[in-house]
Amino acid sequence: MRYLDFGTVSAEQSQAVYHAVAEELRPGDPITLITVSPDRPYVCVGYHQAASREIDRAYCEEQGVPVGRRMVGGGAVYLDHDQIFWHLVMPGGAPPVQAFYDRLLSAPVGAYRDIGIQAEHRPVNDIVVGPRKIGGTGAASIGQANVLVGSIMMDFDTKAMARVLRVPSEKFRDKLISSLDDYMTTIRRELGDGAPTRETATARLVSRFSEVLGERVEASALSPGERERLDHYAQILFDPEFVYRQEGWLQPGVKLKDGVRLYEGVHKAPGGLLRFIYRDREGVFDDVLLSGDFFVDPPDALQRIARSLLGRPASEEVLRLLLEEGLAHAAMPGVGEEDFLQAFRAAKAIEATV
Amino acid sequence: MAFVYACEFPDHLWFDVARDVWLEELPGGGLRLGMTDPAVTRAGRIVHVRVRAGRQAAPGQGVASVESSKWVGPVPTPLEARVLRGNPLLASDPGLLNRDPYGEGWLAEIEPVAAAPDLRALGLRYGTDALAPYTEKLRQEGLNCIRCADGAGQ
Repeated sequence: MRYLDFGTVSAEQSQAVYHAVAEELRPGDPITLITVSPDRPYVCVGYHQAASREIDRAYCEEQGVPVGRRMVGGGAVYLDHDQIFWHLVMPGGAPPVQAFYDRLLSAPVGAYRDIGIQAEHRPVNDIVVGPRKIGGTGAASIGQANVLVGSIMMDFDTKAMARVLRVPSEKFRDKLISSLDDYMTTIRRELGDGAPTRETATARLVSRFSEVLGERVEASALSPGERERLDHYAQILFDPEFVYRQEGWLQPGVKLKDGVRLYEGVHKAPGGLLRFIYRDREGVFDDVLLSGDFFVDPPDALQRIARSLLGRPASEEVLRLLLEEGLAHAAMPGVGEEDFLQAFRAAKAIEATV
Repeated sequence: MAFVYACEFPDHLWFDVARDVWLEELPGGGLRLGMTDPAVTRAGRIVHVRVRAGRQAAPGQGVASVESSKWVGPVPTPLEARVLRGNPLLASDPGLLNRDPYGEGWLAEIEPVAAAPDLRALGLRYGTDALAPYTEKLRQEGLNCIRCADGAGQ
């Protein structure tokens, strides 16, 4: 196994490096493992995402936060020096995806266990500690290579992540931060002052990949061809023409981990504006925030309705039943059951335009 | 219609076994291109498709990219061709690729650069001629095909 310890480099290079190595890989070349961190925070959207819908572009430009697009799928992510990114670049055709993850994610899971964190692989590609996800992973075919990417989460700034995303409201952003705290964890959070150094965590990861692949580690450096492609990808992956291309995959809500998404719908009822924020965990209302600028009596009626939804299936039928009960004991002039249902539908709807 | 390791291979299509794509000859010289049953099984549930309409691609280059919930990759063309159009049904229902890869889930229509290309000479296998190489390939991979049965591919 060829190993490129890329250390800390620019945001652009940290994302470009595995694209460059993958493009240069030929059949028969050795498997290459890369570890790298960016020298400053940046944001990266998935290959098929509509970046203009996912990212608060104005904020990122004001703050000088670079925005790139990777040739790997998934959602928008915030990346900084507290994450050690690893990229495994392998020759060969497109693999059976599940088997690919099953075999290879045992390496980062083993590395977490080596440092005292009881991580597990949760299919398809999550690594979790109890109910919380620790880092993300993804896969792609680039050129003649298969690429598996992931991160060792030393620490994570949930507020910064929530700030760079384009969200429907500040209430939603607050809920996003608390949801990220609920559903994500890091080495710092698990181990506190007992957390290992970056170097130790990286060394465990490299060693575990070597074991899983059954290959000795051979320290290496970029070839001249890879270096040339690195410069190329560092430029194009962050080119606004590529990042904000006018097409993309629109999905409602913000994904927090597999099976958990956060949604917001707003509906203008005759009595005022109704806002319906909810977290869906595997089809169930996991957290609900209802608010509005209309008269409500008793004052906590919206909170009572929100509480009644927790743990119930996140479906229109269930919502209708619980609203009938909740609204029977409340007065909201100009706001009725159908208005709540409209807000719920709006939350699940995919925007029609980029 | 034949099956190998639960993977379907219709008799009337050309197969590029190495690249795992199929071609169907259309009246007028165009070709319809799609992913094979093994290819969509490997990918898992497909959630997005992007076809490069207007692009001219060399053999092995991508005419489309697909994203499953856990993987992104290109779909290559077996021969030099220009992409005429993508399948409009996939924009709203990319799961068609998983449910009906040889029918409604076709991916793109392409126009070969060379007039009347000899597909056999390019290494493609027609219908049942593809079964022997696929039997060997799928045996080596240990792959059995699975079709998604349900709705819109999310």
